[in-house]
Amino acid sequence: MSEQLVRVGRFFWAWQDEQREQWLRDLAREGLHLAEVSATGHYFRRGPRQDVVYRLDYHRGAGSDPDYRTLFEDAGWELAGTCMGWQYWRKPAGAGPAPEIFTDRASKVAKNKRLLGLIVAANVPNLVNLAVNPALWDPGRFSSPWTQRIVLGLMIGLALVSAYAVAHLYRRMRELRGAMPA
Amino acid sequence: MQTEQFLPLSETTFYVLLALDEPLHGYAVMQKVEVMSRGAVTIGPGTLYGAFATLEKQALIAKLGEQERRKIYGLTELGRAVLVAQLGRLELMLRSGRDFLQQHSGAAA
Repeated sequence: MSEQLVRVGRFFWAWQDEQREQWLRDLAREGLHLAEVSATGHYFRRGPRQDVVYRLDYHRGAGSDPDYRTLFEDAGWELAGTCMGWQYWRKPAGAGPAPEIFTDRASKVAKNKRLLGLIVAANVPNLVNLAVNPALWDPGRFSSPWTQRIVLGLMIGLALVSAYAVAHLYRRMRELRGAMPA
Repeated sequence: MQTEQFLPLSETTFYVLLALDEPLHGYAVMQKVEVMSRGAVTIGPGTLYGAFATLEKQALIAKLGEQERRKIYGLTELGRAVLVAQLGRLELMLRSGRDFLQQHSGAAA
């Protein structure tokens, strides 16, 4: 049975999980339901228009833990897809407030902390390379000065984006923590 | 036993420990908390999964077995002691608060 999956190409930064959740809900209302997520993007199956709420968890270890899945499924959630530690959960929206998978601030802080860990870890090799690799800063090693500028530009650009992501997540965690009772 | 270091419990932690007075698996805890709190408190699966992991690491709960791919948890002796200590503290706070309200308003608190 072959199925034609629709790819909706929209780029999200790692810290834009709330935007992704809203986007997926909007698409479900148009009849597009998430079938698969991979590094190349989000793929959808055409179906009936439905109000479905999506919630994203970032949890690398949990993906392989049957207890994690069973707990969510028992609570009425369906796993729409997983990708590099991201778990895409969905549940039909009923009457009343949208269903949540995190119901207290401590667990939201924990999720952001995991995501922060990923971004920092992913960026360490890049930063270390920039800092200690003399070859990068030696124009003689590159075929042209422009090649060097592009390479350095990309690496520095990546470091800056990661720094922004880290700052954004720290701010989010601080807001969450600040609102928590002592 | 050192119960002091675990207090005060968050709302989620309090209700999870309370529910695990009898051995239960994850979703059963979720349902029991909603019943115990008369619908006022709902624990989401993401939150509950994290709570189980933390409480187990803190040795307040322990895995007692498994049933159809669902782990069953129960209170440890330390967990029960912490729960009792928290309840005692809450009771004292409630009593102090009610005394205060009665003195200052004259009407029933």
